[in-house]
Amino acid sequence: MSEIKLKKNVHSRNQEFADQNRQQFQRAGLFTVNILGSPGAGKTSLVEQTVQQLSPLPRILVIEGDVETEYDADRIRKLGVEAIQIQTHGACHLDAIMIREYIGEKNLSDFQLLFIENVGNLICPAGFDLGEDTRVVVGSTTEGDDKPIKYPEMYYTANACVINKIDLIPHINFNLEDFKTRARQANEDLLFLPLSCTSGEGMAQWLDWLKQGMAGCQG
Amino acid sequence: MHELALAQNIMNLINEEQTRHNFTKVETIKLSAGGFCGIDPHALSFAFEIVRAGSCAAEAELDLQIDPIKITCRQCGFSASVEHGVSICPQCKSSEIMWDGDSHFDIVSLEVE
Repeated sequence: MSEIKLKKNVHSRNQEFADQNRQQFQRAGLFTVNILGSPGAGKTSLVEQTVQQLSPLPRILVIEGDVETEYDADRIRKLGVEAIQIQTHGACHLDAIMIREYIGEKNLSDFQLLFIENVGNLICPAGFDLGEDTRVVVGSTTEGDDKPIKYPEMYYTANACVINKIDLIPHINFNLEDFKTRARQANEDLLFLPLSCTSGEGMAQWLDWLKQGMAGCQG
Repeated sequence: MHELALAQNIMNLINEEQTRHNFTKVETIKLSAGGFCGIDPHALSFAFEIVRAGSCAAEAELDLQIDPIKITCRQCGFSASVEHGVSICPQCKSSEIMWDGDSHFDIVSLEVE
């Protein structure tokens, strides 16, 4: 018997594609946001509100990841924004290879902002780099303020955390400070953007944060 | 169930190594993961059972070491390594604790024949 030392990342194949994607995004001057969160947190609503409220409106491309249906891409297309739907037919996350398949031939210099809305899931998508510039986890008040410690990898790997549905706080048992404290246990550098896609409260900070990201990507 | 994708990746890496080193059988696969890797060892074993069928790793043992998470309390300074994250300081009961870990997942080595 002999031992072969490898020390190889199990995600290495995904990482190769993620690196290629990232290079392509950077060449195009594109700001790419990977949006993650549980089903029903309001990821698509956030994208809808963003494309309606960003001013001046940049050229936006949206990739929607779902297990089945074109529903989400259709919601975005209705707003006059180009959307690609990836149906995973069972897979619980998007990976960099899927993204490569859909955008490999596309001229991305036509766009300034790319949203990749991942499959709704607080576990699996966290381990898969897609080549994004930044990773946003969308939590929501109706999920409860304990979610960050129940799903720490998701919060550990995120750069920013949108806390959606803050308009419902008076009606439900949710403590915003407890949510933040628990998220900081896994990631003390996490940026919090509490907002409501319904009432519009807090949207201005989210939009400013996006604009800063876009400004940083245009050479 | 992202463990199925990870199990497939492990199998692909073993196949690459087999082409390079020409072994016939894998005895042990040593894996190392960070405390934030988000991997369920049981789900990984289950998925690996499926993808390894008929391969050189059909009888291999998966030896997965997941690093502990280090917790430090901002209030009382208590510090310890724990297998699973805790949300409240075991000493002063404060929730102002920090978890320290990472999310790496590596195949460290293969024992082969």
